[in-house]
Amino acid sequence: MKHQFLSRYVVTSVFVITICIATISVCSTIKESEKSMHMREFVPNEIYGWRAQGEVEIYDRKTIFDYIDGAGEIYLSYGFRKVMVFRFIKASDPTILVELFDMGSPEDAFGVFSHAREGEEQGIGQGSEYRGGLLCFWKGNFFVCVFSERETPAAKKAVFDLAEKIAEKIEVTGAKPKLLDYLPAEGLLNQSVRYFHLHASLNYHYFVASQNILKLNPQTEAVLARYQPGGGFLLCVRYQNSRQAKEAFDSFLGAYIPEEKESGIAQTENEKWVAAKLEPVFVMVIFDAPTKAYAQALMEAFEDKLSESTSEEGRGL
Amino acid sequence: MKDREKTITRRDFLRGATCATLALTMGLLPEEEKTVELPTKTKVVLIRDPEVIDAKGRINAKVIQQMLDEAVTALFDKKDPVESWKLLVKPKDVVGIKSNVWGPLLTPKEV
Repeated sequence: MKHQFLSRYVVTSVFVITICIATISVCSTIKESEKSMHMREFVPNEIYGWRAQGEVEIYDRKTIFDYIDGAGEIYLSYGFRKVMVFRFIKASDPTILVELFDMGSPEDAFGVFSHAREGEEQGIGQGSEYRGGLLCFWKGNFFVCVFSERETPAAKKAVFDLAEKIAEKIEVTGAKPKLLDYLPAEGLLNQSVRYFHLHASLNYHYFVASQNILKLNPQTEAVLARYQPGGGFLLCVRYQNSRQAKEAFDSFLGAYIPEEKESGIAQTENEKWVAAKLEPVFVMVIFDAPTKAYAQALMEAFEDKLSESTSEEGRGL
Repeated sequence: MKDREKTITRRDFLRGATCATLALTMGLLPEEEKTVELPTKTKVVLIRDPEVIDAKGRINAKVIQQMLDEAVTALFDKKDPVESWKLLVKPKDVVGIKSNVWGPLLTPKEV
């Protein structure tokens, strides 16, 4: 009797759990589908005679390589969720392509925008640049690229105006990563600021080591920026807790400047200087400083800014 | 610990470049590594040819071949492209070629 009761209980529980999972799955599919519909509305159907043609292509974290084989890792290194691709056709004019990336957060939308940023700001969205027919901007959770297969005056105008229209439709803005607030302003080359999470991204911008000696992971936040004069690089990594930060700091010192583990500052083989410091959850490193004094001054400026910003955050400012 | 032993840092590369330059200066490099002199400055070659794509957007494979030959001979200041390629790779080397399949910047099959 007891056995029968238990069996019925187990069968009923399994049934209820299955229903719950199915309901959650259906709800998330509906939510995802509503989000896709919402994203489609950001892109107009026509601009100066160019018309959106064919089905909108959608790629997610599993299928991104079907669209961008070779560069898909860049998006996957951030919180990329999906990309929608729209093709605009006009007889005898170059095709215009729109890529609308949902990056999951404003921080990561900024991050992927910062990955290859080199050009002048174009005033679209929350940050933009234009290079040889390709206009990219970020706004809110979205990173958007509008590309003309050939650059003609008419196509360039269409690319800019299409981007403007999409940026207007994305109503919600988002904050840049908080980590950027800690960068000292003096001498900072704004276009050099990169925001990322992983070791591979750091090595892409500035090769440090073949192994992940700074113990970067999807949860760590890192900012790398270049300073002038002198051309030194400042790297700041925020870890999830002080234990992780300490482990990463020790690992870095052991692998990169084993001869100066105590002082954390050393001259490298190119006659420049490297300096590292640990704050509770942060590891800061200055690379390629022209002099020891420069490395120390930049580190101090950074620590001042960090202390100022974190105390403001503490006061809720 | 094993990982740490295998780690190659930026500083190792800097040391390597310093050692290689010193070895070259002192004539210590092995014979097979003397084929290419270490440059004091990086050389970049840019080849342009308007004939590579015709009015209909079709790619001319013959022009691409000429451009590649021109690029590699310019890079090594040689007249013969085969001679230049021999300075880049040896028969036992494994060569990886990175192509691009992203629509707007597709590597054409002619390349």
